[in-house]
Amino acid sequence: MSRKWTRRSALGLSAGLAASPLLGAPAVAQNTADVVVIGGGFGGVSAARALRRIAPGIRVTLVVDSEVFITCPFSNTVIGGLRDLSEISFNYKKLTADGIEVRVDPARALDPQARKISLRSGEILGYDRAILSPGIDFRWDGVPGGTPEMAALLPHAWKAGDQTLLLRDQIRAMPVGGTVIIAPPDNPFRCPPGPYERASLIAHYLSQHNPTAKILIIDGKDKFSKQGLFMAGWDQLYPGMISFIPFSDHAGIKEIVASEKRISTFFSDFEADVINLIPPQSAAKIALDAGLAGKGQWCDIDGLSFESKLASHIHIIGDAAIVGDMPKSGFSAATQGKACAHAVAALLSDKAPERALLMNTCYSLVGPEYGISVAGVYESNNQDNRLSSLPGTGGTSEAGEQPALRQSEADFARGWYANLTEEMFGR
Amino acid sequence: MHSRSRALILLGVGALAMLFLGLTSVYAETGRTPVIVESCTSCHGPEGISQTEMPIIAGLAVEDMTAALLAYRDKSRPATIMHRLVATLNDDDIAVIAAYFANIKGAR
Repeated sequence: MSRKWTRRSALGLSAGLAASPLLGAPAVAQNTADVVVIGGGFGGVSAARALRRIAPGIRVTLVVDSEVFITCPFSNTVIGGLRDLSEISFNYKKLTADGIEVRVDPARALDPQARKISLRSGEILGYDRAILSPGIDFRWDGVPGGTPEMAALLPHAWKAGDQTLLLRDQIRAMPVGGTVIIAPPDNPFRCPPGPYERASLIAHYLSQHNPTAKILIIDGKDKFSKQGLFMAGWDQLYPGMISFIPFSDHAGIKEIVASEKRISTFFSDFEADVINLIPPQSAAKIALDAGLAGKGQWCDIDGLSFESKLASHIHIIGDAAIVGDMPKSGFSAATQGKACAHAVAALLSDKAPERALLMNTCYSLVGPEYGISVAGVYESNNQDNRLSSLPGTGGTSEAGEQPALRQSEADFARGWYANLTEEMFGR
Repeated sequence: MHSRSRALILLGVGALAMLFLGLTSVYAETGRTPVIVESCTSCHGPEGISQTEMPIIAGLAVEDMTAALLAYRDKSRPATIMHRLVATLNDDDIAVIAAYFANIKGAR
């Protein structure tokens, strides 16, 4: 018995159900359903593929912005010179081969009442259910004097691609003994440990090529994800190179002079050679414009079905959504995408979504051979379906572990990334 | 096995095939991957067939997977992360996971 036998029998089962006059309405409902998934990242791709796998009768259209998807996870390895951008770049060919209709035509607007999605080309797609995984946009109004153009001088590199390379190249071109400022926003934002992994891998690069250079983290908050573990790793691997300046020590950014690479805070001024300014964020514009965040910045959803609390037949996952206690991570988005696919398949068969555990696992590299992790387990509660962290689960790697364990977690970090992206784009 | 599967498909009784394979819960009823398993494969690869540093969990015997998960749960087996993930799995969850991956062949 091969594993393909299993897959074929699952497909055969569904085909059998659809064809069987004995089994009736639910399968028929599935057969006629159109699901449009918006967003070609961790959430959208995972949702589209899972839906295709578990309910082959549903027509699945995936609307993406570009032929190539470059992952934010592991983009810090590109900035730190450990990987090439091509190693974190993926395409949608396997999804097309699976029978998913992939449209490279960015979604521009969503009309929840009419159940219509407008694409850039002018084409309009209808849907029985939509799964929205549009990610984030930047709130430039939350940056003093902020405009999108600022990123050409002060790269955010918080959407991977050209910005990743710009930041990498600016760091490579820094003068000897220069300064990098990383300015992360207050919570909530995409990938809570990301700025600190970034500081780590920039420090790894600098320790080899520019060892007297410094990294200042001028933070929009006082504490950050895996803080104790990161700081212990910095002391060990890059002593004296990285300084963390919590919000209460600067009271916020007052002025930014991009051309001079200067940041003034309410307490003091900082000059740098490279500034990685990570603006505050919101759900992507398409979700805000459709009213899916109400008067807020993020989309509230039901933790069992992932359906919007403000619009029926629209399910929202990933960074754009408020998913209970789950962090805004690529892995969370992938888990949510798969769970959402199950929920949508159930709803299209007139069944209730199944209550289930969802997990998040996020590795960070403090150095190429020094990994740390945070994990979480979440379950929708019985009162309001909020996905709540289960007490006694999850948490971070232990402090004070031996190098062999950090090495092991670095190896697992690489395996985690490879397997997650394989499930999304491969096989 | 191939001809058997084809025969089952033709008969449209895939659900029964799943029961013969010893699966439990939703998978047995619908042929769908149990939702809880979806969290496993993000790290351990599609169908648990890891091609990386992460352990392959496809094809593990039910008793081996059950023993491993129970040992992670009671923290008697050394782990980097698994003890943090399985702490609140109940025996039914573990049975579903073990049955699913035991049925995935071709990885070992």
